[in-house]
Amino acid sequence: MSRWSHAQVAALAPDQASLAAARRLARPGPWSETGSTNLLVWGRCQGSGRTPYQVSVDLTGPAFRCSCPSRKFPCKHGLALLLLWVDGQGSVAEVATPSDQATAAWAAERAARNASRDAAAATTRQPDEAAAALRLARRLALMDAGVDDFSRWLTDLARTGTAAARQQPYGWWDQVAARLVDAQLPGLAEDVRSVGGEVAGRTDWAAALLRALGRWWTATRAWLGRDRLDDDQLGDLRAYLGWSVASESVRRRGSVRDRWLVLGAHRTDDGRLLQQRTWLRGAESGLTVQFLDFAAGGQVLPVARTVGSTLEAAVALYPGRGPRRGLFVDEPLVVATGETPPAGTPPAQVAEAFAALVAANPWAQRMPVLLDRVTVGPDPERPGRLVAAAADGTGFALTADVEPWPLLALTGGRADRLFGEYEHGRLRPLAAAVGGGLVGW
Amino acid sequence: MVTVVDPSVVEAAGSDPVDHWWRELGTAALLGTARRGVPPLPAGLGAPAAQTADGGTAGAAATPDAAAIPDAAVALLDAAALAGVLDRVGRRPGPVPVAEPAPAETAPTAGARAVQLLELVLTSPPGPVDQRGLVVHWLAHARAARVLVTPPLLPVVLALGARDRDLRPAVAAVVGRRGRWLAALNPDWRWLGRLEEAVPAPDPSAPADAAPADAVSVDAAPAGADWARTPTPARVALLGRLRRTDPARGRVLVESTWTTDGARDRADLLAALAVGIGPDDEPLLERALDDRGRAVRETAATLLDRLPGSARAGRMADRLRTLVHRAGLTGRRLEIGVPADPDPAGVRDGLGPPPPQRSARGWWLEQICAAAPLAVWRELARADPETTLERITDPDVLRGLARAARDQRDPDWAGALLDRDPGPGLLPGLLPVLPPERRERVVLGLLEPRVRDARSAGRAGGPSAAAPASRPVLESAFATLDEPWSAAFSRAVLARLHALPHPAATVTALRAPLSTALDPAALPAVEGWLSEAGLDRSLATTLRAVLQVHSLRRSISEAFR
Repeated sequence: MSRWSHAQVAALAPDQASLAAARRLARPGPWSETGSTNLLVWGRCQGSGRTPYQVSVDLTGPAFRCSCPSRKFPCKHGLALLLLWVDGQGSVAEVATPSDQATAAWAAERAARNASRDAAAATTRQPDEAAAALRLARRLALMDAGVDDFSRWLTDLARTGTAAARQQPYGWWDQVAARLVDAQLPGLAEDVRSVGGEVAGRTDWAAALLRALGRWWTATRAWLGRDRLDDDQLGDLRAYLGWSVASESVRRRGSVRDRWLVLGAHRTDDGRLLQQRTWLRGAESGLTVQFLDFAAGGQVLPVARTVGSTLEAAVALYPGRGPRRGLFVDEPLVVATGETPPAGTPPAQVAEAFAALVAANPWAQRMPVLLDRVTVGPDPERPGRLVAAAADGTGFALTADVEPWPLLALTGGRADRLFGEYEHGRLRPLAAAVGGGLVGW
Repeated sequence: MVTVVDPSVVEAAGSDPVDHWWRELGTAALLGTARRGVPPLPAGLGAPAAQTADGGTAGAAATPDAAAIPDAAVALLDAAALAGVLDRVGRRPGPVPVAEPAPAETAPTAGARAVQLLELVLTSPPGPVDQRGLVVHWLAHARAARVLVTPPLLPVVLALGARDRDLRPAVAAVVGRRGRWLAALNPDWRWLGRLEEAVPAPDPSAPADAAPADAVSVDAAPAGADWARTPTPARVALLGRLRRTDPARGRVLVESTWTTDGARDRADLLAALAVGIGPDDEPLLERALDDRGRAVRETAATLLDRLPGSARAGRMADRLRTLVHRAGLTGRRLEIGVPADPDPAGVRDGLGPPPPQRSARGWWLEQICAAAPLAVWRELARADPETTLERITDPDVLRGLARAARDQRDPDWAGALLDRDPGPGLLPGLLPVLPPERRERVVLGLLEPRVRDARSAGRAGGPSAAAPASRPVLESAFATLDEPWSAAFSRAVLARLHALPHPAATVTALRAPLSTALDPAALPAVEGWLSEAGLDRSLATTLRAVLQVHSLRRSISEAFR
């Protein structure tokens, strides 16, 4: 397994003080009996007490264990051990199996606990089937009423016109959204809030609002006709309405075992919710799957998968027609880094592919795109923004929400591959390959 | 029902009837179906649209309150569902012009280990104060090895150059062609281009026996019209380099535009002659004393202070002679008079209005003492510098003498003045004049608990003030030493620090020089100190950081080997 970067370790620190303390400890002096395998790093750190602290890190979680009394998690010893390991100066040697008995036992225990938790999750649900059916019936009734209410609001809006709607204060939209939340339609509510928030400020508000009306109407109509939808169509509709699918039921759908190349990742922060989207491409299956992580209320997102690495894992797919969302059935193993990415989509077909995606899932917002031999440079028409031109001259304006400099520095304006998200006719660049494997930023 | 769009329908979206329909639909949506009819679907948008339009009533019938929903509103929403999808997928990316990519790199990039160390220094240095020194160390090694930073690090390194002017030449040497291409695209990084207008960067791919990076070949300096057109900051930067190797040529360049440059430019260019100044510069400086610009006149006077053989120095010596007289029976007393109001010649030589909070006569006395050749004092006092100084108490005279010792680079006078303790402000100016061993001795003396303070405190009956010189004095004094320090000096510094009753503050003040200049032979002493029981927390933190920086610096040096 390739060792991490310092930045990855730094991202795990609970605060700056812990990181600074860890940096001071990240030298061979206080450490003894250190070692590492593909999955574990361990060692003993001489602290102020007589017996050294036992420190173990499970790299897959990552999970930390330390015998010190610190309330910080992870504590400075765990971080320092990782820094020492990252440094790769031979102070933490690589071995085949853990030499440290306590660490080996802990790792085995963790693996067993994970397995039993999954099993327990599977069994405890059984006796509650009747109660679950009742809960489901209640929820459906609530949602039906909400959709009915919402479609009446939509037809009223259509009759009085969007110009009148634009004169409404934000509270008017917010009230509609709040009713949708009460009706357990949080995804739709979020969309209404976001459109309502933009209507007053956008110059192209009329077209945007017309598109939104179409989107909302499509959702209400689809909900009424949901008996005729197949699993995947219903999955896409549920994702849009915000009715989440339990991960156990996703696991039950079966999984795809494959070698997955990490194509790119993007993080967003809307002030309340941190979201991380990671795109993986299966070598055998040819599937491109997104993985979503969320964190709210001061939580930290999990460490991003290293772009350009190849993971071996079984992935269960959420129902849906595209873009597919997945979850890992077991903890993925990094089996390679820097592998050459597969050939990209011919640029002329990107628009067709997007049309096909929207035809399959009318609420699809974005599509993963891998392009071959791309030139990138400043947009002559939009100062400060970038454009990318594919080999055949097809141009893509790049989104403004990604820093341009890492991309330009890495590629020098010319990339063998460019991976990004095609969204609203623009491309959000997330990774590029020059010569070797994909590199993100 | 989910609107299913055959991708082939998209082809129709660009045609005129669809555009027309889209505009009409937009108007209907704006005004509302109560006031405006919903346009019929154009022929090209076949089955699915027609189906929804027809199925409108059927759809409405599925809702419990069918009668309340007017058909026109449903038709509008059905059309919006279709139009929204068409609008999203109907856009076709067209060709765009893209600027020329970066030219191929000719020099190699630094090795993986070196790059990893730079990342470490940039993301998590031992302390924020240590980062700059480590970056400088890395850049110097990369420059010497003629290697470049890896492309992903270019933005960070260029940003460092944007923030820190002094780092720019070192950064410029390691960014390569990719860095130049990148910097041209970012207004914040334009400094790179401006820097190289003045001094073409050494091509890292050039053979190692080429001219050293700091020297400027004579051919590189612009001449004639080019010089006049070059912006002044660039000309100043160029002069700074050119004067080191060819001072005459630098002066000729300044003279070539002397009559056409503005006063501010003349002052800046004249000040740049400080590097490599010599008697040949006197005619220009003498002429500049008559300049219209006050800043030019003052700069000329300041520079002439450094030429004790100049005519102005001679004129100042004459003024001094009228003020200084030996007195007393054995002639061992010195009486120093107060200068009278200067005549126009005196004003021209720099006896102008005093700076704020200074008496005019005191200022003139200082100016005269600073500008007159120090040799005059031997003639006036008939004694060596030490003895002469014993006979002087006037602070204005002492200040002037200290400036003279600094500007005329006179080690005897500098040493004598330092023995007398000229005050913190003059210390850093005088230290570089001393030979290295003497300088080290003076600096070590600053680490002693101050004897004079202790004596006066003792007289007052209080406890002895056992602290060394103040932090700014220590910082500026240590900054005058050549780095790295010798092993002996390094050990002596540590021994003095260790002997202090409360060393934490002093060690913190000296953190930067200890981290960069200490000889490796002295590091075991730092480790030994660190292992002592009951060590002050902040002291331990600083000592540990010193060790870490040394270890990082060593790693960086090894990575480039």
